[in-house]
Amino acid sequence: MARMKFICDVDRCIECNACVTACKNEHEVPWGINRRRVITINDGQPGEKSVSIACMHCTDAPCMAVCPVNCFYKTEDGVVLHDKDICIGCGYCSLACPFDAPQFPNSAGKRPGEHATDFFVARGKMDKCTFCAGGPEENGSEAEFDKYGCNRLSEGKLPLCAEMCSTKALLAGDAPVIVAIHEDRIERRGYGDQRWGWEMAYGRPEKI
Amino acid sequence: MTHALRTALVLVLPAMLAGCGEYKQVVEYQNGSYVGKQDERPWDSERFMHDPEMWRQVMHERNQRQNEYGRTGD
Repeated sequence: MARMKFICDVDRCIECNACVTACKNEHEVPWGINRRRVITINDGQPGEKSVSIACMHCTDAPCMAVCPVNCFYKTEDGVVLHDKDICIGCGYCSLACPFDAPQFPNSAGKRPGEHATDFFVARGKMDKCTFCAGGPEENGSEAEFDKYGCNRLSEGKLPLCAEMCSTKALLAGDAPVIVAIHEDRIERRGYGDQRWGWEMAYGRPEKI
Repeated sequence: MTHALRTALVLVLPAMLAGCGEYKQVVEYQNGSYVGKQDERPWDSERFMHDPEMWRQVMHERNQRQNEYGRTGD
């Protein structure tokens, strides 16, 4: 069984934001939502590092633990997904997530600048990175695309953010394979053995 | 009168004492289980003929393409 994970090689990330753009374009993610984003630490200072962050699909995902309506599930390959038909937009998952991955659209299809009039629908249903695995709808269907975006995994492809990363800083896929690729790199260059967020995301035993 | 008062006290006192009881104030968390729709698996398609091994093989090859050293043969 594969165990899908992300690695962001901070020694290669050049903060080009191509992963962010690819994700938004591929899934037609609405304004105000960023399933993936690039964070730069010590910007302009010596030792500046950039890291591309999205849902890490944690082994013991805190979002799954705190969801009051149990809308989260994990696929056989370890991808954490959720059912938008069940989500009530409470935001607990957002508070629990150490990577700030869950995103919330403006209320009821409101666009930026338009103010929500009803407090109780001020936050829409949660949206997050799906590891390009869609959601609980028929694979490749219109309903799946509308709610969750493309299902590249069912097409035999990897997440687009990683596949189009120009420096291959972002690696996605089966954990042993991407770890081997990363370790090979470290051995060749002789530095930079950090796997940002790994201990936080995958340091606890698997829960499916 | 005294009898009535005594009876009332016997009935009311347990209820009043119950207020002094110590109860656990913390909710015990129980793992929930997914209640949404069932998802299809990625290999549930004509292309992969519902064969997980075939899908995994394709994904494995795709994974290897992320290694540029493998591409150049260096």
